[in-house]
Amino acid sequence: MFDIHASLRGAALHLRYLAFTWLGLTLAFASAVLIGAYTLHELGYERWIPDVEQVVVVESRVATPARATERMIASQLLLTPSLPQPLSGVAHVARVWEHEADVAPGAAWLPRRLLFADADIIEVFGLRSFAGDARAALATPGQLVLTREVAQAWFGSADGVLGRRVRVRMDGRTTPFTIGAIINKPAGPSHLDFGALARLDRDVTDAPHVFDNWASFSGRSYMRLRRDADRGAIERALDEAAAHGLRAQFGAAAQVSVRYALLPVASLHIGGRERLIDREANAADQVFVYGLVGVGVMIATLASANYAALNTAFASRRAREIALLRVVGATPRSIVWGMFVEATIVVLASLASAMMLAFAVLPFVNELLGFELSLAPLLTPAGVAGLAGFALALGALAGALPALSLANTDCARVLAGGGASARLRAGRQRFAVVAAQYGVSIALGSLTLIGFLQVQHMRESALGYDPHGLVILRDDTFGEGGLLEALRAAPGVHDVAASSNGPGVGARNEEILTLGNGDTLNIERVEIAEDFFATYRARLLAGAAPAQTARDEIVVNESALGALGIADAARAIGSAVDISGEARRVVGVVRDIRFGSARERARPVYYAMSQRTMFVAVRFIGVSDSAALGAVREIWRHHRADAPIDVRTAGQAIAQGAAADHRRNRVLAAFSWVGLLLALFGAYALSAYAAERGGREMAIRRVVGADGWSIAALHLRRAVAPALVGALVAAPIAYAFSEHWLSGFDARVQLAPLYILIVVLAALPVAALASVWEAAALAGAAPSARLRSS
Amino acid sequence: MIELSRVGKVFRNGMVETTALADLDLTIHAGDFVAVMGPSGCGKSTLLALLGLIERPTSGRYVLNGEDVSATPERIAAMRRRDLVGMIFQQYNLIDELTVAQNIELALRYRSLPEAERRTRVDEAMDRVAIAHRAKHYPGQLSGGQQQRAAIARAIVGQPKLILADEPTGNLDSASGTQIVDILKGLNAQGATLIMATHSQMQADQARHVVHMLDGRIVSAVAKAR
Repeated sequence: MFDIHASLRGAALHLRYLAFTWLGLTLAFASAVLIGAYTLHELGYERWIPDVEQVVVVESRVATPARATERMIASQLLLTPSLPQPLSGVAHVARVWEHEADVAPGAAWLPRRLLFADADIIEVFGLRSFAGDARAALATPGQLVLTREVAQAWFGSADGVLGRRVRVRMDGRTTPFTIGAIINKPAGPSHLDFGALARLDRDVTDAPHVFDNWASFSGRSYMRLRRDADRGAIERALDEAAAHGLRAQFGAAAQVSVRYALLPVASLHIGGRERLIDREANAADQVFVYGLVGVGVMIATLASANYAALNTAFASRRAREIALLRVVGATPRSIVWGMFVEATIVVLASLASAMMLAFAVLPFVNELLGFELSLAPLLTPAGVAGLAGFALALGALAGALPALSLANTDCARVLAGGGASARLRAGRQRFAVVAAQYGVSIALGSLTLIGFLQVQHMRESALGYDPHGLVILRDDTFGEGGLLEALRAAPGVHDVAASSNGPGVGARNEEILTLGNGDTLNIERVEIAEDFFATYRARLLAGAAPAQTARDEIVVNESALGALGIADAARAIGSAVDISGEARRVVGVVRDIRFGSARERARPVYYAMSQRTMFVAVRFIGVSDSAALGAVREIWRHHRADAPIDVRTAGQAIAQGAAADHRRNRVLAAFSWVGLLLALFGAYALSAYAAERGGREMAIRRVVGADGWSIAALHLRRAVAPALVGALVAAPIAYAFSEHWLSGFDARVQLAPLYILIVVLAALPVAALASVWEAAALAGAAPSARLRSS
Repeated sequence: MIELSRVGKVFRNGMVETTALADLDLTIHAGDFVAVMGPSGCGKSTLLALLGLIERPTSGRYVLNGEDVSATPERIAAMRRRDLVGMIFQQYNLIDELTVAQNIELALRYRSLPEAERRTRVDEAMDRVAIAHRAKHYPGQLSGGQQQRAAIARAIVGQPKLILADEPTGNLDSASGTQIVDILKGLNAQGATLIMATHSQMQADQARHVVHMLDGRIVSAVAKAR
């Protein structure tokens, strides 16, 4: 009978191997668990919505003769009211318009994004009232609907807040609101912030033209469809409504056409389309998420394979023990069963410690990556069953498979000292596993380095303006009370200018530009005040900035010029254009300026003068960022004592714009360290195993004249070999993945093999380091002792 | 060639001390063929390991080829092993991962010899022990006699002055054993000093001198008439 107690005692004798196996498995399983939690989070966007597959958002596809079709997760606020009512297949429809505001539930002002929406949003998203009637509140002007969490944050409790008054300041106006209802929003991530909702009303904004302009794609339309809905018919109805509206606004000659598609809201985040909504690029990258799942599976598989190979190596060492057991009457079945149980115990112990480790590090992971990951889904009966199944499968792989081969070995041959070929096979398996582990860590390390370089590139270049020394301040009062003059007079301030958009701030306002020859193109409007281009240090390629009072003068960017097919910037100066029905004249051409993520393709933009622009840019020279922020805060306190300040440096704003990429980079960096650590564990175990198994070989080499140094050098060369093999496999894969990732950026670093070579060159000494101890031990070992024992 | 004066060897394992060799006095001249006999555990293998510089005496003096090597540093010992000594073991001690030719070449790896010369010497050594037809085989693919012939080729490829054979026929059938002893005798006839530990009286009878050991001591040293 195979004695499990004796077997475990035997394993305990090899504590070093056991410790490294356990540590490696624990680390790998904990990584896999965290990756699992991250994946569930990323796949969980909008999954809290009841019957989520019936909820869609309208995507607009704007086509003009001059440009390729542009896709936007936005639509005209006129669109859904123009549909025939009721529209077959549509149960509920709601428009949404988001706007930044300051809110004062008490004396203090808080920055808050408000969601202005039609009352049907309650049904579309399946929200439930906790207090009051949310639907009735959203149908009533001046009422605010809060989630329980926001009510708690503002008033200390969600109870008894109905009827409480809140001041809202937006676009320079302060409006009183009353809390009309409190809603329960089920837990789960969403691309929408449901914290504070209000009735969608043209009176809430000082840009009412967005409500009645078919060329303005300022809102979003969501629908809850009936199960039998004909989605194609609904899309056609939308197309017809827009065609009719565009004809009514621009006449029969309008060359712009809009078609619509109904996208499942659950696909917005994971499908990367959320990026078309939010400039902060919160959107998940499907390739990244699934790639990370692959990494998690690979890490767990490699650690498992490492364990299986280690166990196989041990098993071959234990061939003598097994042969003896066979001689005294053990059956092959009892041997297989015993080794399976032994391996399963080790795997279960590692899983338990991995779960504890994952729980312990989860808060740090959330803090580091800005996530709200939870391990709760893994603790459901299905999750626990899955983990237990995994433990049994790995136990079978690591324990039973080597046992199967051992149980049928030729006892007499093993007892006579045979079995060299089995040892040889085990050695090759271990080599392959360690090479694969190095390969994974080298690939992840390369992706991390290239990701880091790309994030740096996004911060430093391709912006079209100089972010250094630039501070961005939001001022809804448009400079009332001499704020701008005070900023200009501050020490170190060189220029001050306001605009509707800035680095990481401002809404995207799309319009349609029509040339004299009838060509049209989608163009984004950015409103600017005096000194805008000078303050941002944006280079004008031709012409000049518009005159302060000339509302018809505009500056277009290079992309607009390209889209119009004009090669020479100077030729564009003086051109007459029509923008959303208003006659404008091009007076300047400026380089493309990217205020959003560097992922964004540079788009056609026009800059027009306005007196009501809320983002103030302050250019400091010779002043540190912290001093500049301090100076702006001081001036703000003096001029706006009662209002919260929303200020940041351009560098911070850019970092926020690259937050998702930065976060991905951190995830990659974290797992490349895990991969490297696992590779080191594997390499150390391989080295220790090789040292023990190769001890006889080294003794023979010593007998024929090798000295200690040559023995150590040989051992180190062998330790580095799997890293080299891993690098050879990983380098092209890392290159291909990097190229794919970088292709998503309009402004990107040029990929050079050198980057991957740097990671490989860094991995080799690390691989050698993992074996130094064993190499030194081998170099100093007396050959006689080893030969005596063999 | 070899002078041992009151040589002793004690192994220490924790609190336990084992005296493997005690007060050995032995002189072996260049070109001799010496057989070392005695029961298991009498110290034959330890004596050969000591003569081959893979063990050092804990007492006494060992002069090899005119040089006192009793306490020579490992680096120097490695050079002497490389240049002077060829060792043959009962368990062959071939490296499983290397072919026969590579195992033999191993003894030249630590000398500054051009690869072409290494190859020539390996071929010659394989021819001398008639193992050339197995050059590309791995040890696991050979019979015991073939493995031992490969081990002898490795021992002689460096053209050592001293060949130490520790029960070289212990794992072989009598026919293979006879072949191996014939090869060793041939090497001795060509000028190498041969010291062979053996249990076989028949093999010992072929040596010029026979040393009998018991409990780590030499109990008799007999020169045989030819």
